[in-house]
Amino acid sequence: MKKLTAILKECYLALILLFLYAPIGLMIAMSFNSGTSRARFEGFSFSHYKEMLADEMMLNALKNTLIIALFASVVATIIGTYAAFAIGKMGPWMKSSAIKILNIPMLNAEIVTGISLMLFFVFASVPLGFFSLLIAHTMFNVPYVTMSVLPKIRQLNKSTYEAALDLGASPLLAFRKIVLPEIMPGILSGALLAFTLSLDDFIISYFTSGSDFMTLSVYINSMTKKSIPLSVNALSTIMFTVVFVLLLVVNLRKPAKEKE
Amino acid sequence: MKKITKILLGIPLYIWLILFTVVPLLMIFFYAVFEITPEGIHFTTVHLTDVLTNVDYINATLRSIHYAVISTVVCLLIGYPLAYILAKLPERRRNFMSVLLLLPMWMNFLIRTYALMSLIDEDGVITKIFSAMGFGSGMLKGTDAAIIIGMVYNFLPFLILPIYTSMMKIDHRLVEAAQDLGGNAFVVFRKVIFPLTVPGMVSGITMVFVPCVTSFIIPQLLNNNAWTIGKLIEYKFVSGADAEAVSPDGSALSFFLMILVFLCMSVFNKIDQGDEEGGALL
Amino acid sequence: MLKQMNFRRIGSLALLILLVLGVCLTGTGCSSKQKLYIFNWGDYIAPEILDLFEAEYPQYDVIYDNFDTNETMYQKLVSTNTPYDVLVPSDYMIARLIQEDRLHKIDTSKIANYAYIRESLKGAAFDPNDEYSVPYLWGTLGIVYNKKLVKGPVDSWDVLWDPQYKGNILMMDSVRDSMAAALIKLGHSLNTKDPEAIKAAGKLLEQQKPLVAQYGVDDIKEPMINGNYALCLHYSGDALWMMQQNPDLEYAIPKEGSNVWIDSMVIPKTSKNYDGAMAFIEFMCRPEIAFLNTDYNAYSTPLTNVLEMVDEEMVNNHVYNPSNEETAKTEAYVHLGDTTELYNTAWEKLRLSTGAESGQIDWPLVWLYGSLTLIGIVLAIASKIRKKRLDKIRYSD
Repeated sequence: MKKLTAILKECYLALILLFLYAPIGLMIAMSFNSGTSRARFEGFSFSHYKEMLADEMMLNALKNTLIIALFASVVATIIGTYAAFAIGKMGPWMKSSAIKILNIPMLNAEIVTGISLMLFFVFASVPLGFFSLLIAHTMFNVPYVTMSVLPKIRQLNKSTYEAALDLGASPLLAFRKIVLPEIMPGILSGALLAFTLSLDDFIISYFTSGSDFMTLSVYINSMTKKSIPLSVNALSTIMFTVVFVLLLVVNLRKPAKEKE
Repeated sequence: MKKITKILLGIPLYIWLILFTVVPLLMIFFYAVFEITPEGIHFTTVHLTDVLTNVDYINATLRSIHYAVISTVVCLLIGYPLAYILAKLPERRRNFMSVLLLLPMWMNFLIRTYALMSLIDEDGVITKIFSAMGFGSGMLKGTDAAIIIGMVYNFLPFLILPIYTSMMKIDHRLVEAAQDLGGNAFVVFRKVIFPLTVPGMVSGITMVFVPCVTSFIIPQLLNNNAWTIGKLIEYKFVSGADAEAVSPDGSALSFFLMILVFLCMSVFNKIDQGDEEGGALL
Repeated sequence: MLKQMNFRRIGSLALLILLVLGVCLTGTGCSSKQKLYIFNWGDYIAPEILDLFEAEYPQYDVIYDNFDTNETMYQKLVSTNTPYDVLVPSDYMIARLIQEDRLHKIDTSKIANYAYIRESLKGAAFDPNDEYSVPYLWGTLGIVYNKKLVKGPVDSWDVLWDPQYKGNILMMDSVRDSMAAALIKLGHSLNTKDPEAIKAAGKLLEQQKPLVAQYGVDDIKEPMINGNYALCLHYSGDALWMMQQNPDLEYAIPKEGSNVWIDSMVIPKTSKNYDGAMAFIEFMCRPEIAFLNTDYNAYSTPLTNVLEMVDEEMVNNHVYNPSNEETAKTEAYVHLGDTTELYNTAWEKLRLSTGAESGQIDWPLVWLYGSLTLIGIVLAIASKIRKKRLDKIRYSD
């Protein structure tokens, strides 16, 4: 009986994994197709990888995505960390209203956020391009950074900071030596979260980007209107493999380290 | 003096928040009720009432809710047992499995949906299998089921994760105490485990329901004949025959969608709080 | 998940990302070149042309973007503030752009090969003095059909309403083109301004909707090539391209008449690089470049000296080079002014309609979710009362 339930459990896990991985698996397999069909495998080749490397627009879109993710996450980390400090110092009424407004982009539907920003840019006649995308991404990244820094600020021990001041440290030095190391984990995880969110975003970018600065997902979406070339599969395969290997390595190494 | 610096510290934050969060949201309302013509700006509720009385828009909204509810329920039915099984695995395997379950989330959701589409479109493998089994043409693309599958596929991990986290947080002594007091597995589950995972469930449901009810790319790729409110908004602003960047109808729709989302949020929040209090009573 | 990540993971991820970024940045580098924004139909240019252009004009950095209907092009042009330099819209959209004063004039005397533009394409209704536009490619609208799946001759629009092809028909997600089919079938002009005719055409398309498997533009070509559908409304060049991929396909211009269209290059007033735009237009008109383009797209070239370079087989092809009988009843689109709105309303109604019982609220869903909400409210109130009672018990202890 126990064995049966164990087997059932394993089957269940396997089924879900199959459901989650079958489309990805097929996509990866098709990236090695020598033909151009997404359905019939005609033979093994790297031709779509070569196509991908020759597709300037796609590489450009990839570059844009990375640039936006990097810039937006850096800016958002700075603003978000500052926001966490400001909120930490605020009175109760100001604090709760600031947090409520800050939370809006996290709770709201992405499409509404995207539309609202688009309307805002059109109203302010900001051309849709790099700058509008940067603002949009920063805007939706800030709350995530703030929310991961805020708990660290709450945990801060005020007396160590004050002790440093008493011992003659300038406020800046005390901040750098005492406060910053304490909240660094929060800042870093916030920055990473911001980076990945920005990297993964489609909906907000779709409404706030223009022709001259397309991110990868917007570019791929414009391809879905035609038949998507298999070079998109090739690119996705590479991106997926990188993350896959990285996460597996990090995860498998961790328990070994802990044993030491 | 100190109070002034405190306020000064907060001002830039408020400027940022008002400029890039509040004003853009007000823009939606602004463009829904004000018409800008060369002669000037004038107030009108025509677009709001138009949108509220358009049968096709109402149906699209109903369909969005319908798809979202079904997808969320399916996610819950699949995800809850999965989180339960996962939480009971030995540690090393558990870590490995959770990474494996979350890994697809690292892939862009557009690419994921597109990958799914390749499986169920005219030449897809699943279509071929189904038609060989005798289900007519066997094509899922273009059916309501395709949308549900697409939503479950994309958002399932969002639901598993919070439930799994809340299960991991359960104090094992509680379970043991319940067992010692003579509760069988079912009673222990119903009286201890389930109530303690309700907050996780609620946050999971929120994380699935909201993107489902507002999604436009999943219906667009998997069943282009179905209309959801998200797709309607996109149509009004970008891809429709009379699309314009300041579409008043689109703004009105976005405004109502925003209200719908916040209504759902507050309901979920209420349930969450209510049950936490209930949990404390236990 | 991310919050649970430890430092080392974050560090290695960040490192990797920086590495990738570095490689990407050094790979492409930043340029101080002048940007040239080209906005063209999807899949509508021979891919090597842009490289050839950039090789000849290294001072320009071409930014190329696609649209899938004239209407989306218009939306992007008007609203995104992108400084487009060259657009390739169709006739009626050009008329609209001219009317709204959105185009720069083009000095055709600066285009060496302009003299070879086919006489029949000059002085078109949308730009009578040829001041604003230079023809890019031209073609017709018609029915692509799969000879294996369609019985009998295809020579009339009626076939698209034939119930025996239920679920086997692909229509265009483009207002004017799909409406044209319905209007002509009803015996109206495809430029009619008669509100009743437009409404009737919309109704006719709604009747057709249950038969239609999908509405699309470029995305319906692949399933057609793969032989999954019997009939498809499409443009001649795409039709020829599909026929080259699948010999079972054939193209017909219905006998009741159809649309003949010209896509032309124009310079919108958003342009900040007029010289670059002129250079691009001049480049596209060069015989060898125009040949590459017509050869790739399978749409007809407007240049007579290029037509001489084209394979005889192609010139004799009725899709590429339709006979006078075939085009006898074809008509170009004109800009309809305010009537456009009627077309758009009819089209939106069709696209949104849910089939047989259209115009009706989906009552079952209203009841279902209405009652569910009601039950929810009742349960919430009940639990609140219960809680209050429990509170009382607790405090009375």
